[in-house]
Amino acid sequence: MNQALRYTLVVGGAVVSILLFLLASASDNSGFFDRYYSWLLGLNAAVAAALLVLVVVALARLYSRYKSGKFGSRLMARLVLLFAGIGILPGLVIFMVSVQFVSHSIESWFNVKIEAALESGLNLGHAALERELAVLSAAAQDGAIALAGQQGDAAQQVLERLAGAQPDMQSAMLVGAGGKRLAMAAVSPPRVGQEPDLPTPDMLAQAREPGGYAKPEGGIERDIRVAAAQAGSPGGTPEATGLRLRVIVPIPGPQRPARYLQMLRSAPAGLASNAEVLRTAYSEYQERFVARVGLRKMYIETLTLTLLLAIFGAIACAFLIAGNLAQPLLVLAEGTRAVAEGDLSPRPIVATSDELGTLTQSFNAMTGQLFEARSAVERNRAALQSAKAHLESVLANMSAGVIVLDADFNVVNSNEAVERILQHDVGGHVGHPLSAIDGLAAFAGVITKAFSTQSAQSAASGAHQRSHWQQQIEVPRRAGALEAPPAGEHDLTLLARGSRLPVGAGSGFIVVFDDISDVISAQRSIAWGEVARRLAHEIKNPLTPIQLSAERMQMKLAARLAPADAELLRRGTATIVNQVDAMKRMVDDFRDYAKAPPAQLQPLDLNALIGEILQLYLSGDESDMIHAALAPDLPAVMGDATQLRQVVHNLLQNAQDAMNDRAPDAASARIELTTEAIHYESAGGGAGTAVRLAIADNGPGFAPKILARAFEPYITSKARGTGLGLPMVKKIVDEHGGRIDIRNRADGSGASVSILLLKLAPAGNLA
Amino acid sequence: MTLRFFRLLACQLLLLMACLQAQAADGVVEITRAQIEASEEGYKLAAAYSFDLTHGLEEALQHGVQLHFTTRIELTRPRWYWLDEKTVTARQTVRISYNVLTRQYHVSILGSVQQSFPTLDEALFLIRRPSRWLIAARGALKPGEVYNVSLRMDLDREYLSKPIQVNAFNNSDWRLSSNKKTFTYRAE
Repeated sequence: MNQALRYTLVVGGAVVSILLFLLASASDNSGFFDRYYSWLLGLNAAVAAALLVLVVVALARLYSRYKSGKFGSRLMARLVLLFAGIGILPGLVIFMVSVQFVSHSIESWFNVKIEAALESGLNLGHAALERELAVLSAAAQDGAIALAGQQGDAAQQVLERLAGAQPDMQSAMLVGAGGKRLAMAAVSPPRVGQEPDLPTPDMLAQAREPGGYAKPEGGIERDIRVAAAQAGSPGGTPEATGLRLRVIVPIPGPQRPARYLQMLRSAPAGLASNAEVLRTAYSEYQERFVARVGLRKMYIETLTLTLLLAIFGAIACAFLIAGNLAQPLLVLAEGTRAVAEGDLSPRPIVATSDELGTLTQSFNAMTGQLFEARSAVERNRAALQSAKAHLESVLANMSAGVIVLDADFNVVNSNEAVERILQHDVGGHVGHPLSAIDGLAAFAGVITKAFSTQSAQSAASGAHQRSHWQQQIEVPRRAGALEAPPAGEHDLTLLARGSRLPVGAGSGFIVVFDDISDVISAQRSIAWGEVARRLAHEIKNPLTPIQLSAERMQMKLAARLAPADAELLRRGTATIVNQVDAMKRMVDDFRDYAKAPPAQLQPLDLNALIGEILQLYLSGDESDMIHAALAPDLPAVMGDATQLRQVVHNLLQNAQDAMNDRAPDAASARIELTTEAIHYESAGGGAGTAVRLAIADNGPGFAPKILARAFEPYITSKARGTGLGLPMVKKIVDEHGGRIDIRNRADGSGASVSILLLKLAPAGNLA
Repeated sequence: MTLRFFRLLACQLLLLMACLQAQAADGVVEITRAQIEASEEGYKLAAAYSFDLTHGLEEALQHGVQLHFTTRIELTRPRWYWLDEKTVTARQTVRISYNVLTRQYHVSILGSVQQSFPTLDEALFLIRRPSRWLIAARGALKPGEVYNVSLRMDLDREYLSKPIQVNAFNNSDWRLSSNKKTFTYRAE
């Protein structure tokens, strides 16, 4: 219900009230509305029609809402019916009673007796006037006889006598045949400018009839008013009422043309005024009698219009009131629907101090609290989610493999590291038993056994059980190369820990494992180094006496023997010496490996170093095998020139050796040596630079078993070789704080060794 | 309950419609002659009407109810650029009444003297063939100009009392009016 409509209703109500008041007040005979009564009636009817339209529209709207079951329409309909009923019923009763009253009472006003009485009064008046006329006629007849034959002054005298003979006489007049005045005697002299009252030809014609002309005349309102205004007293004199008697009789005699005597006499004052009153009353009575139907109609129409206006007003008000009452409820209904849909924004508050206003306020308070609670839940959920995501991300990026199993050892979850370590797609087998995954049956068996062992242990040991087990598991490495590797040669070594955890309803298991092959490899290296050092020490001590003894035997005995024996001796000692030398060298190698001196790190231009070394290889070599691609603006590195030289030597040597093993029909041998600067993002977020040295060949590449343990000593693919080359390289690179990575090239043609030197010389410090 | 309102309202509407219909069909005043004559005093309307009082009117008259007949004349000059100019508007009301005591009919043009007649026909003659009526002064019209004249004569209900007015709404006995007669007049 907006403001404009409200004002319109107020103004309209005022207008309607005024119109109704005017209509009601116009029903009496006040006269002001006489001319505009029909307009007033029409206007009221129009207002009633407009209200009817309004009510019909409102009812139709209410009905359609009711039909469609819109919220609040039922309440609205009940309220409207209630208020309309309250408004209409009393109005209707009053209307009925009034209509009965009006239609019967108006009829009762016009009863026969009054009419008869008025008629009788009128007849009485007529009779009285007739009597007066008869008297006047008799006098006139006498006068006419007296006038017969009289002329001039004699006639005038007779007229004077006639005029004075009776009371109230106005004039006696002798009239000629053409209606011309011949002589006249008036009681009061005629006023200035007033024409003497001459008879009309009709009157004269009637006067010729027997009995003459005798009629009353006058009695006109206007004349009465004028006279009353002149006389100063209403209806006083006979002249004032204007009622007079006129008698015209022919004057007997042979005289031609005929003459007439006219006598005018005012009606007696009492008779005249009474007659006038009677006449007026009769006329008014008759007028009202004629108008009684109209009057009844008028009253009934006024009443009907009043009733209609009241009814429509009542219904319109009922709509207003019902709307006002129902509006807060509708607001609340809207609110509940909005809350159901999840919209917890505050509703407009109904600004009343009653219970409905309180209700909406508390509703708003409720939605506010709901909103608070929901946002708290929302926040908690978001926090949980982010925590979970964090955990998942941690889990996913962990280097250790994690597998979650349920009570039946079906895979529940696993992280990416599992796939990387085991080379099996465990994540794709969620819901399947771990043992069902191809190639992991042994792994699954070990884990199952470990868990059962642990539960047996914990059952046996009682309270102070360990919550997890830890075990080293060998898993066959997945065949990445072409030929199947010999079993047991290059297994993955996993360190696995298992523990129980509750998952859902039943218990589950979690297995965490890490690839410790590298650790084992490193341990082996250290162990080998120790062995080598001791062996070298133990072996080297007897070598020198052996050599010296052999040489001495040769020297002492050679001269005393036959030439054939001497030759034998010489060859034997030579063999001993040579073998001892070889053994010495080998021992030295071992010693060097075990006791490599610490690197002396100095700023070093790697490109220059490589250039020097390549000089040795390229000079006198026609095979065009080695190709170097050196980055021109390579930053200086911190390195030990001697050791790095050995690294490059070893690697080039390896590559060259590999070339000799390749198939005869292969493409021409080619060794590529590249250096480049690598820009990376350091752990701290800053930019870092590293220098990469890569040597690749197109030889047969590393065998898989070599590849796994290439940095362990005595692992070699060469028929002759100590197997210390790559371990040495690795050792030096580690000393330099670099990383080394060997792999077979992706296309399967040859191997590639890549060294990353992370320690760079401070800028401008290059020698 | 609503049905009752509707019925009441329908009654009212029917009543109104009946009024309108009745108005179209009741007693008609026929304007038999209408012309404007120029004289030295000014322009005068010479008109004659033909009508009879309905039974109801006659009875009411004889019971003392006064009846008024009004003649309305309007002279307009057409203007192409604006509404027509109303040059002259005049009305003349004649009252006829009956004195039950003297049994005479009185006819008077309002604001003028009255005349008495013994019979209704004589009285009505004065209304049917009124004397020439000065409608405009000499200088009111422009000579040579053409004017549209519209004339109508009817029983003036405004002078009736309200109940009779109400009665007249739907009683053809109480209606007596001419159609609007229009003609053109070239001023002399």
